[in-house]
Amino acid sequence: MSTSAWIMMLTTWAIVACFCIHFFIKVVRTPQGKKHSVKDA
Amino acid sequence: MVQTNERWGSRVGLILAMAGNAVGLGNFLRFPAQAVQNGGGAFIIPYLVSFLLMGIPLLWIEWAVGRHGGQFGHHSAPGMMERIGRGRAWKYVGVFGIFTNLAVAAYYAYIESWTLGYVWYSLTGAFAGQSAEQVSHFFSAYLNIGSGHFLNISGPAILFFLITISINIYILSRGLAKGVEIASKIGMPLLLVFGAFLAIRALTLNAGEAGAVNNALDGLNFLWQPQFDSLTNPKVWLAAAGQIFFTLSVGMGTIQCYAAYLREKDDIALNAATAGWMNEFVEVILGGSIIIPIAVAYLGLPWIQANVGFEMGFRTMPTLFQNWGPFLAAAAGVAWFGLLFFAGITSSLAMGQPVMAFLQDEFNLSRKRSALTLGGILLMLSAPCLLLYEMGAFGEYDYWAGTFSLVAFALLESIAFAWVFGIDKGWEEINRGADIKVPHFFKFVIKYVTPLFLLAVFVGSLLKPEAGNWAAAFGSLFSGGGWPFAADSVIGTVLNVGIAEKRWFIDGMPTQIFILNMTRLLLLSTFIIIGVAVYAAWRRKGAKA
Repeated sequence: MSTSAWIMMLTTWAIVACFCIHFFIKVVRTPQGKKHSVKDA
Repeated sequence: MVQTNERWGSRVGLILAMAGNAVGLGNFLRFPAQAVQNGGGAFIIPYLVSFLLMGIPLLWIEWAVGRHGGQFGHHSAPGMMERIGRGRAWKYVGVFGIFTNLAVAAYYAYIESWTLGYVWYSLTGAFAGQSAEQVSHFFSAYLNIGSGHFLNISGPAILFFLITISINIYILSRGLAKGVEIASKIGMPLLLVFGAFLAIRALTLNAGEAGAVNNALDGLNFLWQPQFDSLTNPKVWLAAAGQIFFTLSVGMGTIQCYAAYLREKDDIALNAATAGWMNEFVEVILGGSIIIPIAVAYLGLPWIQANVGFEMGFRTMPTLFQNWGPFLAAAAGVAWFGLLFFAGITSSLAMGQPVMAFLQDEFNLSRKRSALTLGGILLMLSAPCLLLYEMGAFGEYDYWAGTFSLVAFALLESIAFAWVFGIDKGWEEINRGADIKVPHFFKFVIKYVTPLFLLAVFVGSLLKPEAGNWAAAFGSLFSGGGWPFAADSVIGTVLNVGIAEKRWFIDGMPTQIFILNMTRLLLLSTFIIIGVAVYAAWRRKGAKA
């Protein structure tokens, strides 16, 4: 695999995985209806 | 109207159900094919840009439309659109949100049943010792195609289809929390495990090992090698936007339906983003790392470029797994077709729920009766797809319900949300109870960029030129040669471009063009009947009020 392909793939994977995991952890830690919303805070 | 008390059992369950709705067969079969057909790495940048400017905003719009409609007791698109559009006529735009689900489920459940059948065949070792030609022929025999018969009647295909429909109807009849949510909580983790197993095996395949003639990484190299000059090619942009559209299951009415079971101040901003990114994780990381690397390892890049398509997953993959030895071949077959089955069923359940909600909300049917009614309608609507598969009925369903209607509905919905309901109210709706701060930049995107993006996809699908070559098409137009419509453009399809035989019957037998036109008539009639049902439901409510 070429260097540019590696960079492209790993960067995209990192972005997608980071957002997915970050948001999912946030969801797990904040049960629906039992939180202070950004607006209410 | 009977107010339903149904709610999601847990937030994680909701997210998995929403992600399961989005993650479908297309994540593993359509995405790699689109990437290969549009220049490999050239495809990824427009794809990600489309996700940010069209996909994510549309998810927020649909979640907001759904939760808003749910507060008024509407769990299907007609009632929601009437509320958002603020006019009686808008409920008829919502007919798309019922029609699309019914028609897509009719053929989608058929593909889903193939995956179930192939899990069985993998488990029982039906592909052991078979050559590539035999495995490919097995698929033709399974569907009874290529034998010259007018009707594709196949006992095993019909049996697995009936089993698949029964499983769907049973789960739906159990309700949201006890049916759909539990199925998603089981199906999605299993899908991830199966996908990870196959991706790891695929990416560690080297030339000379287990019969491989190339390194699997050569396939990844093709997929990820950036080609920045393609950014100026409209064909690649339209394909990328189209893929984002289909992979997220937007424009169907399923997301709105699931979101309608939320409470007024439940978060939608974080939920929508999580489900969307989870779909991207499955598509980009898992979907891109299985079929192409494995197929390139055994068959080479030129073969893939010439043969890539939906059926490749069934005609080719079982042969390639045979190189891994009897045990791993069976395990890989179960994992591959099992993951496709779980991807399929979590999506088909999402397609059934809006139709059931419509019957429950607007016609006071109980959950079980609405599930049985849905099953009956699906059996009737799917008959042409099964029996006239080779004559093109299946493809017509996919084109009109699974492609055209989605784009049309999403375009009208985004206009209704941003311009009729109003972007200020819409923005407030998205942010009410939000667990994340949605960047203000998206207010502008939702008002201007997303509708324009959708308009471009819509117009692009109407006018798509031959071979997707827009420059040549404009050249032909300005030189007086007319616009060369592609056979798969909307106008080209209506005009039957590319079909030489225009007669409806030859020697008393119906031709393909007859079947295509009758299928279109059936789909149009279905749309009109749903429109009449919406009219009758509202009239009935008006008389009761």
